[in-house]
Amino acid sequence: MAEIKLEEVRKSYGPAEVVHGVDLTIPDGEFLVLVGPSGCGKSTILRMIAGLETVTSGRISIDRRIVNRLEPKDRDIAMVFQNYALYPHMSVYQNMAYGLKVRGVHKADIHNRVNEAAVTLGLGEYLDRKPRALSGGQRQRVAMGRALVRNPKAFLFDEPLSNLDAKLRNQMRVELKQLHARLKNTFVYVTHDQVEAMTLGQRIMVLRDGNVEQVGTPDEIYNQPASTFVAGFIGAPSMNILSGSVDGDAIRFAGKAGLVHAGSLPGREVKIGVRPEHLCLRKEGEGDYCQVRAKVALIEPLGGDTVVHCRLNGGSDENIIIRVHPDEKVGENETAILYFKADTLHLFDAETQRRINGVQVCAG
Amino acid sequence: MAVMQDKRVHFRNKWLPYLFIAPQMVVILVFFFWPASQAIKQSVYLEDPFGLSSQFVWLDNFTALFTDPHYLESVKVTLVFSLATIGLSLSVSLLLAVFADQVIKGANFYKTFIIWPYAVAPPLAGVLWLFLFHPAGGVVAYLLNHAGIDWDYFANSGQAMLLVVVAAAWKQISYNFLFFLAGLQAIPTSLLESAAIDGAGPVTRFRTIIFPLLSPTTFFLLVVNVIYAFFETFGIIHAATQGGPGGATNTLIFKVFNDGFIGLDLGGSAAQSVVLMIIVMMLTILQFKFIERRVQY
Amino acid sequence: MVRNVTWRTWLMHAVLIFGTVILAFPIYTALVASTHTVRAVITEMPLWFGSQAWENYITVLSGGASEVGIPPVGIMMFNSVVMALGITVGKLSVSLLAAYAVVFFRFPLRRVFFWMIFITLMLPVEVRIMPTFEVVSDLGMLNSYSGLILPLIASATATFLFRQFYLTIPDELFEAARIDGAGPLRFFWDHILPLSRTNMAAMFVILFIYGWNQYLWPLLVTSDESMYTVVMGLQRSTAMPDAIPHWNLIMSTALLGLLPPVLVVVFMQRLFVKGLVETEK
Repeated sequence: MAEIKLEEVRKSYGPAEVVHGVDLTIPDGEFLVLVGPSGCGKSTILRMIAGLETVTSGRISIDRRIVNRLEPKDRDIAMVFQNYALYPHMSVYQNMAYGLKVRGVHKADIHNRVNEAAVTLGLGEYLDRKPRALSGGQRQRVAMGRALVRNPKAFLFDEPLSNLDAKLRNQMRVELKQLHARLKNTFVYVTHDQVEAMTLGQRIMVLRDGNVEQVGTPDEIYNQPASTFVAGFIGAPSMNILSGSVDGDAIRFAGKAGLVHAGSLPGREVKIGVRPEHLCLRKEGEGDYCQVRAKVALIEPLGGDTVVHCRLNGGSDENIIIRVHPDEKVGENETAILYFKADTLHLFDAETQRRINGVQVCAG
Repeated sequence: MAVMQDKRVHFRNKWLPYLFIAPQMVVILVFFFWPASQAIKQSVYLEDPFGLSSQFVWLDNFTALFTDPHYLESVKVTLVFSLATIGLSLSVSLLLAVFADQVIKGANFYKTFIIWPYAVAPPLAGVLWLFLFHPAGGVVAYLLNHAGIDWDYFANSGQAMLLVVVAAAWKQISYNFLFFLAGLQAIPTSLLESAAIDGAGPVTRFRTIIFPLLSPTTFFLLVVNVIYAFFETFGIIHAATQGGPGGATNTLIFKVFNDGFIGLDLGGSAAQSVVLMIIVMMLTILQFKFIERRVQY
Repeated sequence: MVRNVTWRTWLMHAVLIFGTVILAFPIYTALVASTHTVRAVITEMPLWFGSQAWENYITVLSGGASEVGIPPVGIMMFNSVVMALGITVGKLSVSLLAAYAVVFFRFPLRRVFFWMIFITLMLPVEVRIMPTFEVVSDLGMLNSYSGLILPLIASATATFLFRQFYLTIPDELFEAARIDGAGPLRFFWDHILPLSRTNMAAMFVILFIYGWNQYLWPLLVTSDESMYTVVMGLQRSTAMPDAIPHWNLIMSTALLGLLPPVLVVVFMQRLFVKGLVETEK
């Protein structure tokens, strides 16, 4: 059990810097998810924590001890790899026991711990098998078991579920969450999948091109995205981002639609974000509703709800996606009026793409 | 072979890698680089047979070599020997491989019975064929004599050449067969099927599809066979004909040995060694170049 | 494809059978000759087995054929085994270690070493035979097992094979082992060696044949009959144009000399083919 702390951590390969100064404190027992598109540096950060990559500059400490120069084995961490990295020449039992054996743990103790982990993970009857005789899900469990038996200070996961099929992935996600609830160790989890990030993480760090876009709870990330990138990355379908121009007290967007704002805006241009689920085809009760006209281009019924792709009227030619109840009657090529409450809007600086806070808006 | 590739992560240890690589380096320094540099050095010195004195002579040894009619004769002998051996062994093994690839039953059975000559040491191959062709007791010699051919390879240089060529080709058929068969089995059946649907008969299919697709394998085998015929057939010649009669089977590799150990001409032999080194190096580079290209595709 | 052209299949079988028979013919005549007296071989040219097999093989094995130029085959077989196994085991261990250093470590001079090893691929022992002989002679290793074995270890084919293989071991496996706490020695012992088993076996087959069949080198470094190997031991028995060779004894010896590697190829065919193909990569 340990706190993990990163201070101004940078990583370069030759002249190319891929991680540009990351500061992060992961408190003891937290489940932290690093998320971002491929090449954003999330795996590099995880591998620096593990000791598999050297730190170009900055400091990493685990349990208040600086580990920059420590070998992976001396950091007391365990790691689960995307392709599981099981030892093909060893049985399931030997795979799980290996880390303990190397550390000179007593045989009887190894036996107990491996068996206990095997029972937890439902691997009891496979202990004598070689990895190649296991299914993908079972291999994944063995990889977890190998980490589990060590009872390390921290668990590191590098996209551990991405080689599984969708159904198994959902199941393993739930199990992972339960595992963390029981163990209460520090978990650092890398994924490119925003659903995994939202469901698993107590806190999420969103990365892009080696920079931290935002660190926060799933609620903060979802409801107060710090940039258009975070807004677009988290949530499916993605948040709609529309262009708006500032005209005195008013913000114009989607042709004629307008907003009235109170507070100072940094420039003449803003981005207006609105989530598909906050758009609806009719007003529900009282509220400060804005409205835009749009033409329905495509309807995707998903069963539980329906995703409607629209094209905004008014010459801006922007696309907008809404998510509505399947009972809503709407036909392709119809023109619809889309309503959304002003307080569900997100405002972003068009230039820096960062969130604008402290500006009240209402429908105008 | 892709020559320089790397792992993503490495062990950090100051002295361990040196310890691991030391045995290899010691062995190649003492038994490879030292002798090879000696050969190069000797090739530019003139030394008397007793090793008492030596004199730097620039490239005289090489000049002497390339103006020596015996050496030029040996070059010719080597070329004839190599061409004949390679031609014979490649064509026979290609034929066998094509047939073995097409018969569905028994392919593995034939494979077992074709690959074993590879394991026979060259000098033993030489002795086996020597016996068959020997005027005293040889079955083939007997048959040839009965067929009206005056068979005596001790005297007839063409016949001596034939003997060593047959023995050398016999040994190499296994190797060529294996690689041809592997090449043939790598050709997708769908390709041949679509050609058959297009109306190509077996001969046309071989000529227009199989043979062109097999050409990388053929080229590779060509290089390997040149190396084999040039350097690895020493034992066959030494055991069967001793380079004779009258130098008729005195190939370059045999001559190096003969001049150095029997004739004690160290400078000349060293110059010959250097020439051979250059030939193998060029062949090997050719081979690497080719394999590198094959890997990329 | 519909293969209903039966006559063609038969023709192919016929050619293949003919081919295998021709390939086996020298062995067959050798076998036959080794079961007759020398007089019978030369005068009758027998095509079927005789009754002298036991006598002939006992004679050559016990050294009774010394006067016709064949040293005791028993001793020579023993020398061949020592040389072949020495070359095989030596080359395997040297190359497993060297490849490990080159692939899993980063250290100064790594590239220099790598290219030095690479160059040795290009020159077989045959072309540098004279100076190598002198070196071995200077080191006082003539007529010794180390003189027979060490110079033939000095090439890097096996090192390259293992290097290629190590490079295919996934990085994650290496990383997982490091996180599990394995250092360089443990990783080599616990993972590299077990994972290399098949490759080692394939290489063993190829190197054993290579080692057993060495000829020129033993010819040079051994002048003492007690150090002869079976493959080279026959050389003086056939080289006399005027004398009539003792075919029965020569063929018995030749067959004994070719038997071990041929058995290896036939019974370890899969490993042999793998080794042959891998060494050419």
